[in-house]
Amino acid sequence: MAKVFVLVEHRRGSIREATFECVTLARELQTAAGLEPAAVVIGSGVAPFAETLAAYLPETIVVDDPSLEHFRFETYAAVLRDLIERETPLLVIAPHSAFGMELVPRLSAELARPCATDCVAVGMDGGALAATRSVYNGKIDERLAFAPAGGYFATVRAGSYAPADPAGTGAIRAHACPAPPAAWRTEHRGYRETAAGAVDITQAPLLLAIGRGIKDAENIPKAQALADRLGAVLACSRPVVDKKWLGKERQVGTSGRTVKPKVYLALGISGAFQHIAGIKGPGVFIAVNRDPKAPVFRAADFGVVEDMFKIIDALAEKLGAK
Amino acid sequence: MEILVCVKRVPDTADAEVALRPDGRGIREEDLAFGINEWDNYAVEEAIRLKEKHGGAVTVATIGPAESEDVLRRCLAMGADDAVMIDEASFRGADPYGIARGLAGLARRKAYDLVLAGALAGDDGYGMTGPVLAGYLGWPHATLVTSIEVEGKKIAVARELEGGLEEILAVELPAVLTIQTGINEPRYVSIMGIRKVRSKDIPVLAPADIGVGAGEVGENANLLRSLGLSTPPAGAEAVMLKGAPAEVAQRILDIVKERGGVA
Amino acid sequence: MEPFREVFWNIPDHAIFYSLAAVATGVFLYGLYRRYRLWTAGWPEKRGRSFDWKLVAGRVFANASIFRGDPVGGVTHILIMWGFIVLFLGTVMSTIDHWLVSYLTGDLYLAYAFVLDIAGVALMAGVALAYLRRYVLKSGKMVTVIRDHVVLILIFFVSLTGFMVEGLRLRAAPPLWSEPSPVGQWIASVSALDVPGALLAHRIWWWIHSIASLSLIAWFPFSKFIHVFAAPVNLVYEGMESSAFLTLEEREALGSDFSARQRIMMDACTQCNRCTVVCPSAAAGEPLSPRAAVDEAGSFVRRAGGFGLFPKRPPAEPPKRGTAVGPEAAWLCTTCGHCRIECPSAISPMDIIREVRTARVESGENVPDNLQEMLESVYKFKNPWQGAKGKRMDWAAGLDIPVFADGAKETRCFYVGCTFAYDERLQEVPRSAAAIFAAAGYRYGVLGKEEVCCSEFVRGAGEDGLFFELAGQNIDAFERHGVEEIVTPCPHGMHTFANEYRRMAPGAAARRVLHVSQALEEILRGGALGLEDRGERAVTYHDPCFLGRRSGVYDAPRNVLRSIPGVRLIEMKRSRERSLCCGGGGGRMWVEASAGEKMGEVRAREAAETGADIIVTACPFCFTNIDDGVKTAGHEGRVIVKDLVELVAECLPGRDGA
Ligand SMILES: Cc1cc2nc3c(=O)[nH]c(=O)nc-3n(C[C@H](O)[C@H](O)[C@H](O)COP(=O)(O)OP(=O)(O)OC[C@H]3O[C@@H](n4cnc5c(N)ncnc54)[C@H](O)[C@@H]3O)c2cc1C
Repeated sequence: MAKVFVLVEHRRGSIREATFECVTLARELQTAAGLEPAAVVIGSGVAPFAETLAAYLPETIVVDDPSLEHFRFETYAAVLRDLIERETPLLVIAPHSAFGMELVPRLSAELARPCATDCVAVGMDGGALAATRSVYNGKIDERLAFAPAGGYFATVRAGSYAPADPAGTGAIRAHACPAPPAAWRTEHRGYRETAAGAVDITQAPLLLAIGRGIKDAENIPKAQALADRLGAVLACSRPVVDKKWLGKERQVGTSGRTVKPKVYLALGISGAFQHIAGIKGPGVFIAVNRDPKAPVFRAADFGVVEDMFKIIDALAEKLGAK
Repeated sequence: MEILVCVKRVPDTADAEVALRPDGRGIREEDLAFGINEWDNYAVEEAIRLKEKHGGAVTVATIGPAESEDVLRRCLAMGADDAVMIDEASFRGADPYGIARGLAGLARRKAYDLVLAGALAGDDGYGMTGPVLAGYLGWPHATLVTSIEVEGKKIAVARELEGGLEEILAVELPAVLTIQTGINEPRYVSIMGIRKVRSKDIPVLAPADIGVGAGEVGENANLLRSLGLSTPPAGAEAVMLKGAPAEVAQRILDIVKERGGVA
Repeated sequence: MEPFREVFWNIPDHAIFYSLAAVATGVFLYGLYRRYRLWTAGWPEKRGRSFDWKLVAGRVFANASIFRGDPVGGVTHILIMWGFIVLFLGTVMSTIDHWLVSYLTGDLYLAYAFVLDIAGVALMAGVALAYLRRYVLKSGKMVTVIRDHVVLILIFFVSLTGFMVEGLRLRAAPPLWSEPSPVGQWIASVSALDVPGALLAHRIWWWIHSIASLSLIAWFPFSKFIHVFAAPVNLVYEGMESSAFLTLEEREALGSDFSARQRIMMDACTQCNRCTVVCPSAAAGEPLSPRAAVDEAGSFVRRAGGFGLFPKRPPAEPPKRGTAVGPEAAWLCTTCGHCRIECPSAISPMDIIREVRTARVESGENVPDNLQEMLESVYKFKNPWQGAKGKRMDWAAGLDIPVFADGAKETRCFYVGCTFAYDERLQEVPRSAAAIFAAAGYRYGVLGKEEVCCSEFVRGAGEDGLFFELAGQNIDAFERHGVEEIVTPCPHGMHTFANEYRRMAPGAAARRVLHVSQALEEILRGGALGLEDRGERAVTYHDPCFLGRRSGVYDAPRNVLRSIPGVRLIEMKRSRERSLCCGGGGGRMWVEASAGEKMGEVRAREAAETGADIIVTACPFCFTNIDDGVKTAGHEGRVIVKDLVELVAECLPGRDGA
């Protein structure tokens, strides 16, 4: 029976959450298309990860080799080329993350197996695989089919599927690491923290997050003042950091911090998945955006379609009155 | 250092109404503002900075409709030395594989040390063009790059990972890098600057010039085929708070107090 | 014997004097030539030929504008200037007398001697007053540097030595008549010298006086004295209206430095500091001094041109114009135009500052981030607020507004403006205007999605190319739809359409441009709309710079206010042409200063001090900044900000006053 592979993403000793979202998709495809799911763990000393995955999927393939210690396209691609050629899975899925984005598109090109990146859903459409992608700032959905090929790839947007719970015990199988080439052209040199700073948004129970809607560096103090009055910590989306209006340590999202506040109040944030993916936990999410079609309203618990500055002023007024 | 930067003209849709064309196969473009893809803008700036520091030349290229010329002129005004366009006709409707194939053909025309592209485009958001292009060229690549240091025949780049982490990767040249926003602060380009480059010749290359045969790219050669576009339901999940700002503010404060136990 | 004066009395060495005089005159002429070259090295502006004699005469001869607000300064200048002129004419007269025809005899000579004596006294009194004014009265808030002392002391010294010479002459050889030279007589009377001693002293002082005078002449064109020539020339220019912009190509071909007029302005400046005293940015404590900016730009131009008594080789690489004014200062000017009307010599620091900005924008160096972002937005979205084109008519939701592109056949265009179109609070203003127009049967059409930014602040920020592009689009739209009259609630648009578009398209000059306050004045004339009384309200009116100073409209908005029942108008201390800028013009909306209070706050405070309930303004930027100022300065709840149009619309019959 045709297989669906889940590429396990792990970094610095732990499996990344997004992997388990892909597991959910693989299980769905098992039900919908009868695909046989398998996890693929590549790395050095990754036996414990294989153990973990075995609790989720019927099969786990491990490629364990010292040369695979840190993720690199070259080394991982060499393993996967070999594995995919031998095992011919119908579909290989991976998180659409720094890992998936680096690894999958190019591999798909080299193997001439079509890849749909950043999918919010993958399923069957008239007997064939089809993917749904969210485009134009989340304002439009596009359905994609794959041109017929030996197999396909998909990378999955974080948050599109709920992380899976363990279920049963699967088999673990080792796959040999193919012989390395004469020389590598890339080299991993280590990691670097960029979000070090005085504020810690990850522990704050109340976050006031501002996005590009803040418009101007000049308006930052206004937001800061409101946050102070609310007893909230000020957080932001990426463009605010890119413009150097606030420090990286305040950025919420995949490339920033993951937060789990009791209340998340987002002002002028469109709701890109990279941002939304950074908001976790059971807290309440209130979004203020003047665009009624902003995707943020699909993620939020409460929505307000209004100019954020009016809301800032109204909140400041209410708080001042007390 | 010879650098090729691949750029794309995209509509700005963050704050705009995006409506579908009646045929459902594209969006209505009349009311949208177009410009250089945000990520590409950083890529062009980075290329120019590398050139200013290490010498060489920067070429910008695009595959896109005739209007894309504006985007290329803007890049020239920023400080790129040359610009080329690839005749779009045969690429119309091409998927990222087709585009990457065309760009790869272009990259082979000259001995480039580095090809830069945006990490993704703000319209379709595939994030594929750069790495796929690297695959076709057989060069090493790195995606989501947030800094570049040249070390002779090698470069050290930082790749942005999740959670405020970066990894440092040494990459041999020639290589393909995709650039993440925030790597630099792109300069302002004045109209005067754009005018100064208005007479600069921007050659338009035919597929044959870049070694792409008829039918090898374009809609029919696509590996990914669109089944159609649709508008997702708006605000499907959120409970909408309505009323004057003051009322809404009160509701927000109530929620904050009830759920957050603060304020 | 008839009274007369012997030139070179007691002075045998004429040749030495004449050689020195020739050298001094040569240096003087050379200096003038160098200045002339410095001026003409600038690019020429396109100006009309007619000029304003009255302006030139009033300011040059009566110093009318120097007296304004600073009578001591006026008197000082009159004394020094006329003292100088009279003494100069005296010298010319005596030269003619000596060389050509002898006529300075008898009563004429006596009168001559008397007048010259008085002139000398005036000069010295002027200098004394200048010091008094600078250090005791401090009436002019002057900034004094060494060169100012040198100038003043040299003038004083020349007059003083002149009197010494005269006194010693009278002492050594009292004439047969009584010479009407009170100061000379007095010196002669107090001098204890005997005749030979006086003769010797006379000769010594004569030479000192001559050398001092000749030095002054030689130094004249190299010092701030040059304003004696530059200021009148600049005033002549002031009357010659700018007729057309140079195109970008022309400008590029002419080189990148300052215009001839701007260079003349720099030389016309005497650093009197009036501009800085009225500058709203300086008043708010921001690091901008228009005076210093002009000074810096002047030094820049002289340095670049290698100007000096001993000419220096101009630097091989021409210095960057963008550096001619301090890095921050150049971005702080709001182009409010107050300095310009205040300057006795019609120098416009803001033009010079804008010129510096054009260079920075062109090179992309040292452009503040927010401003850059605004310019990118105008480039991409055709408005400074990153507003989508599809949303430009959001203000009109639910209203029936005639749009040209949809077939409205009108000759009057209501130009809404970006901020009124995209700022949700301010959308109320065009909506109110529409209600008034409907009630009055006032016909108009709007450009709708074809409307693009007027680009006043784009030009103010120095991005001329973008300005031309967008202005061209608006001009095309006006032409396409046969627009003959434009009415706009935005003074920035109004100023730009009336004063700037005119310099781009011949047809634009014929188009009548009105601010909405002027249209309302017409509409409301004779109580036409039957506005209803919504209760007693004290309002104060803030003159937007671009409506007042820059466009000369002061009365229309006040007349409109007066025609609203129940409204009582209280004027602020600074109003009309002395109105204090809110801080929003020339791109300042997008630039933050490193120090100082917000101008909007300063103005909000002034307005609140009047005790008014409502601050009425008629400009989107003034509204935003003052409204912000009211909030941050803690006047909230006591005073509110409204646009004039809203205030009128509230009183329309059948509407409830909000
Ligand atoms: C690999 C990668 C990693 C990334 N990581 C992150 C990340 O960690 N965190 C992150 O945030 N982004 C991240 N991004 C960027 C992300 O894709 C979006 O570009 C970004 O989140 C958009 O931020 P925004 O919502 O603030 O801005 P925009 O998308 O521009 O949205 C601005 C919103 O504000 C609204 N608005 C404007 N003015 C007002 C007003 N006056 N009142 C009310 N609403 C207003 C608009 O309607 C719009 O919806 C990442 C991207 C990539 C490619």
